[in-house]
This record gives sequence, C-alpha cells and structure tokens, in this order.
Amino acid sequence: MNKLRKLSVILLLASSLFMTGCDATQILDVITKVADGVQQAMPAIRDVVNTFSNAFGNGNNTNNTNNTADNNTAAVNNNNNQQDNVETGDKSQANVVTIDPNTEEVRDTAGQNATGTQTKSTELVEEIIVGAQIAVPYTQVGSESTLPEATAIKNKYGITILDGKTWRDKWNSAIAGKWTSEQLARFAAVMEKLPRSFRDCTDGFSMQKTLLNNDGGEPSGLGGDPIMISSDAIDSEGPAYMDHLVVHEMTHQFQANNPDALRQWAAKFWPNDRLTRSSISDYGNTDPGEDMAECVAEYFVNPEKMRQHDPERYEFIRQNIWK
Amino acid sequence: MTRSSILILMILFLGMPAFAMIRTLPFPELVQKAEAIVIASVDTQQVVSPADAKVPETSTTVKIEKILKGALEAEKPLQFNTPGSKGFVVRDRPRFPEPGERVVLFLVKNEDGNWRILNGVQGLWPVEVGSDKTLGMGFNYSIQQIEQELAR
Repeated sequence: MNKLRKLSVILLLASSLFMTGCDATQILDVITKVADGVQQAMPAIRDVVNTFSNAFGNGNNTNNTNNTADNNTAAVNNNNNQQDNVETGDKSQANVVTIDPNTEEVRDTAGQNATGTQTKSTELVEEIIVGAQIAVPYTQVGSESTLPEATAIKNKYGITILDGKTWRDKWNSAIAGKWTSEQLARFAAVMEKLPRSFRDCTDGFSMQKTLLNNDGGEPSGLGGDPIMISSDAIDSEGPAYMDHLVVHEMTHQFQANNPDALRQWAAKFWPNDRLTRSSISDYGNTDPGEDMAECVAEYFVNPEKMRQHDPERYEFIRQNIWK
Repeated sequence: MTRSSILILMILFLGMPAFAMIRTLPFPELVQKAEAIVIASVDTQQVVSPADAKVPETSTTVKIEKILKGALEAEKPLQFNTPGSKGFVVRDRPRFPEPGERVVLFLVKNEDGNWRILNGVQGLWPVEVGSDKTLGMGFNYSIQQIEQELAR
C-alpha cells in the first residue's frame, strides 16, 4: 500500500508541474480527476506492483505471508507467467492476466471471486491455468504464411497464421508444415462461427506437419501461444477433426484469459480434483482443463450430443463461455 | 540483479508449450497394443532435473502388484522419467500419483529394452485410493474390463 500511496503522490506532483499558470479552480479540478483515476486504477496498479515485485524477487508482496516450499514452487510458475507476459508484448491478452498464488482466492480456499461466485480452487487447477499461459516467440516456431487467406484471417480476426518450422526440445519436437488454402478456408469458417470474446483469446496458430513427444506419443496439437496443430493428425482423422482440434486448443487460450471460468468449472465438475461424472470423452477425464476443452469442442461441433450427454456442462458453456 | 533476472526470464522463455491434445486409442486397441499391462504402486518420486531446468523432470519407481499382460519380473521395480513435477504440470504426459497410491500402466518396450508408457496420459490410469476404481482416461473402464478384453 505504501507504494501505491507514493505512486499517487508522484502522479499528483507530476500533474501539478503541467499546470503552471492555471487558476486554483482548474488545479483542484485536475487534482480531483487524477485522484479519482488513481482510485479506480488501484486494483490494476496493485497487480503491476506485485508483478514487478515477484518478477525481481524483492519479496515486497504483502500477500506473501506463507513461505512454504509449496508456495515457493508456485512462485516459480508465477514468474514464468510474468516472463511470458513480458515477452509476448502487446499481441496476447494473456498479458493482462496475472496470478498471485498466495492470495486467498486461488489457493485451496473457498471465497468470493471477481464474478461474485463461490469457487474453491485447487493446486491442480492453478497449475493448469499457469500452463495455459505459456507462450513462445512466434519466430522460434514458424514464419507467417504468405497465403492471401492467411492475410485475410489476420485482418479480420487478428490471428497470426504461421507455417511451422522444425524444432526440437528435450521433451517434444515438430516437423515443419504449411497451411493449405483449403485448411485456411475451413479455419476461417470456424472463426466466423465462434463468439468474439472466445475467439479474441487466441493470437496465433502454427501448422506443423508432425508433432512428437520424446516418449513416442504423437499429439494432434500443442496449446499455448501460438497454438500448434499437426497436419498429419488432420489428414489421418479427416478435415472435420480440425474443427474439433482448433476449438479444443482455443479453449485453453480462453482458460488462460478467463481463469475464473476454469475455477468455476472445476469447482462444479471436479470438486477437490475428483471427477464426479464423465466428460464427453475419455481424454476429457484427464483433468478439468481438458474436460472443459473437450466439452467446448463438442458444443461447437455437435451441440445436441453435448446437451444430451450432460445438460449441466452444456448450460455452463452456453452461459459462461459461448457469449 | 535486474540484468540476471531478465537473463533467467529469457532462458525460461525458450520452453515450448506444455498443452497438447493426443489421439485417443480405442480401448481394445490400447489393450492390444500394450506389450505389458500391470497394476503397480508408486514407491519413490524424485525431481532429477537441475533447479534451472526449463521443464522439471521427475523420476518415479513403481512396485508391480499384479501383471495383467506381458512378461515382466514382478519383483523388479520399474522406473520412469517424466516431464513435470508437483507444481509444474506438463499436459498429456503421464503424471504419477503420490507414493503409496496405485496405477494401471499400459507399457511398450523401447528399442533399448526399457519399458515406456503407451500413448502418454492414456497409458497411465490412477486408481482411486481405497477402491479399484480407475481414474484419468480409465474413468469409464475398469480392471475387470481389461481382463475381459484380454480374455477375448
């Protein structure tokens, strides 16, 4: 709080410097407006202060009263998140999402969240949210597609379309791939049907030929920013599979930008990290994040099937995600 | 301090996305493709990666309780290295529960002769504590169904 007060005083002093020659009424008017503005911006300013405090490890976060090993681990993840935010610059809405794992709201504690709904978040859910916010520089994994359809998608939806490069790290690798005009036409048709608030959570899509895990697995897609999808998987499963895959991965970006929605989902369908009834697919039964991603993808591809399978999940999506 | 922090952040940034979506094998194919299927209990877990690793690596050993399929030495513990740790989830990769808890493992052999888990997260079913209920991608199946599938 002391920092916030100091910041307010600095802002007031700075504004007074620009007001030389004004009369007293004007000065008071400006000071009132600045004070009002600072008051309204308090939550955001507090986030910024906490972000920098955590990022540079000066331990000034007033919420940090518990120095357990568990919290230290979470703090590492929190720093990862901030680093992602710094590096992605202005292209990701995830930039504005900050997580303080030490606050009561998100650490195994029931309480009122920002939307006024009771949620009980768990360590697993918070790990999933942090994982959803992982980003890499686009130039590291691809180069922007030069196809006219790609340009049209970027102009209309703000989504950068990348032809994937070949890359490898310790756990995953990818073989270079390229979008085709047909794939982009299908992709654009999917984008057109998505709610804007959902679509706007995604900034980039890269097409790889193949994605591989070092343990022999072949993922169809890798989430994050940019999202990477595999043309091998699409060729193998059919073009309709791409719709499911695209919406599935975009749901993870939605989670990154709307962590409260995932917390509420988990509290409702995974109380204490325990699945109460089956997701729409076996894969959705792995954790709350994949459960939501699978159900949202099914809601898009086959809404009636989703409604019949689980009216409650269907209704949650309709009210909280598809708006 | 600031410079070194920025450097660390830049190094961390080179990590690749940790989300994924796998192609799910149909249950009969999962059972058929697995060269070994075992029920095992988690014995030890240890983070074996350096502290500054982009993605932590965890070594887990399990004790075999029951062999459902395949030729393994039941008394010999199995050891797996997986990406991630408590506090760092790597999606779609097998995630072992706490020591003492049980899992069903679908295994195939690597070229080097070591066992690996089949199809990532699909090949490790945690078992509910205090029951035989299978969880994860095994939520809609059971140990009994595996045995029935093997008997066909």
